[in-house]
Amino acid sequence: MKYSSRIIEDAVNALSQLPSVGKKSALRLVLHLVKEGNQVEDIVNSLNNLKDNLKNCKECFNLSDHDICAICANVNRNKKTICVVESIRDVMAIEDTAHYDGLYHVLGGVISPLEGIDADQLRIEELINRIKTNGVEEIIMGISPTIEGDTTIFYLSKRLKETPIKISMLSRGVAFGGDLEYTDELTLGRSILARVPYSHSLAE
Amino acid sequence: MILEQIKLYQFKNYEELSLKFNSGFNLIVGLNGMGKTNLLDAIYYLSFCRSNYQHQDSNVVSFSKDSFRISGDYLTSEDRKSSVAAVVTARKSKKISVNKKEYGRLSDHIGMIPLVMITPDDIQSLKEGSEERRKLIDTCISQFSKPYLSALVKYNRILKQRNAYLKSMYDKRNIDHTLLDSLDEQLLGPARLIHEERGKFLDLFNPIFEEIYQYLAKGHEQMNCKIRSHLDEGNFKDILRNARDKDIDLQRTSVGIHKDDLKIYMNDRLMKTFASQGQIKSGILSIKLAQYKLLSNIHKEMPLLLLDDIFDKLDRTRVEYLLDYMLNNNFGQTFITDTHQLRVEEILQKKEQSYSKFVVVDGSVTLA
Ligand SMILES: [Zn+2]
Repeated sequence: MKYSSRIIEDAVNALSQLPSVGKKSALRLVLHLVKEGNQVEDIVNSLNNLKDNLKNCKECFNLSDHDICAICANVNRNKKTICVVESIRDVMAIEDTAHYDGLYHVLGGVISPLEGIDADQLRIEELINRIKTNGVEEIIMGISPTIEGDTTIFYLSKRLKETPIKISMLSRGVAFGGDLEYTDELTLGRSILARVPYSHSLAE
Repeated sequence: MILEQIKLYQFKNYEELSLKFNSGFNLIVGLNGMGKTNLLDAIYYLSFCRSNYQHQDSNVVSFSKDSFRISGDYLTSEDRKSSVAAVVTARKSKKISVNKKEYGRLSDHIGMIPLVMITPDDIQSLKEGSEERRKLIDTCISQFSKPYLSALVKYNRILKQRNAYLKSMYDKRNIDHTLLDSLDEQLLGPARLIHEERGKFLDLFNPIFEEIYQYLAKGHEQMNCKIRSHLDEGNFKDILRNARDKDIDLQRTSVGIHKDDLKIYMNDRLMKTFASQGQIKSGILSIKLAQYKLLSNIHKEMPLLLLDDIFDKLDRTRVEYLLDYMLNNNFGQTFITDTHQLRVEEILQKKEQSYSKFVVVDGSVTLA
C-alpha cells in the first residue's frame, strides 16, 4: 500500500509489529488516532508506564506494580501452599476460578532442551529457596501434562526429595488436556480442589 | 476395508484424477516414470498421513504447485461409507479428515485404514541398518495397538529431548544429572510397553511367517524373527544409568528400544549372513505377507495390500505361488503395479479372478 505521508507510514509500520495486527488493521487504528488525537496521549502514557514501572514480583515472579505482588502481599492468603505454574497467564486462569487461596510460583516455562531451555533457565532455584526459607508445606504442580511438563514435574520432585514438603498434582481425571489457560474455570477449579498427592498420580 | 474411489488433485505427477477401483485385484500397468508408484503412494498417504517415499510434503506436490489434495471413499466391513481426505496447503499445513471431521493429531488416524505395502526397497531392508527393520514392525503394530503408537511417539520425543541435552553439554563439568535422571525415568514406561508389545507381536508373527515362507519356497525351512534389545539385558533404568558416561561422550543416547534389531533366522542361522538372493527375497516377502495376515486377524477391518513393482524382482513361479497364497488365504483388496502388461493378468485370468486393469501413461490413467 502507498501512503501519502511518511508519518502515517511509520505509525502503521510500528503498530503492525504487534502480534495479530496486519497492515490493514494498523492503518485503521492510525486513522482513528489521527481523528481522536487526545486518546494518543493516554495510550502513550499507559504504555510508557507499562514499560517503565511494571515488574516481576520478587517472590513469585507474577507481574506486579510493586516489588511484591498483590497476591503475595495479601495477608488473607494461605502462605503455606504454592502452586507452581509455567506462565503468568496460568496465574490469571487459576485466579479466575476463585477456588485457590494459596500463593504461586511462575517458572517461566518448562524444561525443553530441544528449544534450548534447561532447568537453570527457569526459576527453579528461586522456588527451592522460597520453600526452604518460608515454611511452605505443600506445593501444587499446576503444570500442563505434556511430555515437557512431565519432565519439569519429575525434575522438581527430585530436587525437592530432601525436603519434607508435600507435593500435589492437579487431578487429571477431569478433562484438561492442554494449557491451563484454555481450561474452563469450573473444570480447573475442580481440579485444584480435588488435587492428588504426587506419588499416587505417578501410579496411574 | 475397500477403497471404492480415489480423487487426486496436484499430487505428484497427477494434475487431477478420479478412479473407481475393483474390490478384488487392481492391476496398474505402465512404463517406469509414468506414475504407477505415485498412485499407490496416494493410497498409502490416506492410511499413514504421509508418503512412503518422500519425507517432506513439499516434494509430493505437483511441480510448480504449492498444495495438494487426496480423497478416498472407503467401504467398511460393516458396509458403512467412510470418506478420508488429506489436504496439504501452501503454508505446509496438513489436514486429515474422516467424513469431514478433522483430526486433532495425525497419529489418531493411524490404524483407521489398515494397509500393508511391499516395495523393492523392502528387499534391501534385510541388508541395511536396523532402523529399516524396526520400521517393518512398528508400522504393523501401530495399526492395531493405539497404546503402542502413543508409547512410540512419547519415547521418541523424550529421546529427542535427551539427545538435545547431551548435545548442548559442551562443558561436561556442569552436567545436570537430575535432569538426565528425570528424562531417563520418563523413558522407562514407554520403553517397557514397546518392548513387551514387540515380544508379544513376534510370538504371534513367527508361526505365520514360517508357514508363508514354506509355501513360497516350497521347502521345510524353520523361520523365525527375534528382537535383540538392550532391554533383554536387565533393568532399563540401570542400563541407562550405566551408559550415561558413554552417552555424555557420544552426545547421544546409546541404549534403548530405538536400538532394537530385528534378526531373521533360517534353520537357526542368521539369514543375512548366508542366505541366497532368492531366499532373501522370499524371506522379506514372507515377512510382509505375514504382517498382512496377522493384521487381518487382529484388526476388524481387512487391510489393503499394495504391491509396488515387486514382480520384476521375482521369477514367474514365485509370482504364481505368491498369488496362490493370497487367493487361498482370503486376502482383501489388492493393488499391484507392474511394468509388464500381461504377466499378472494372465495368472489372474487363469485363476478366474475378478480384476480391473489400469494403464498409466504420463499422469493419465485409463481403464483397460
Ligand atoms: Zn508475588
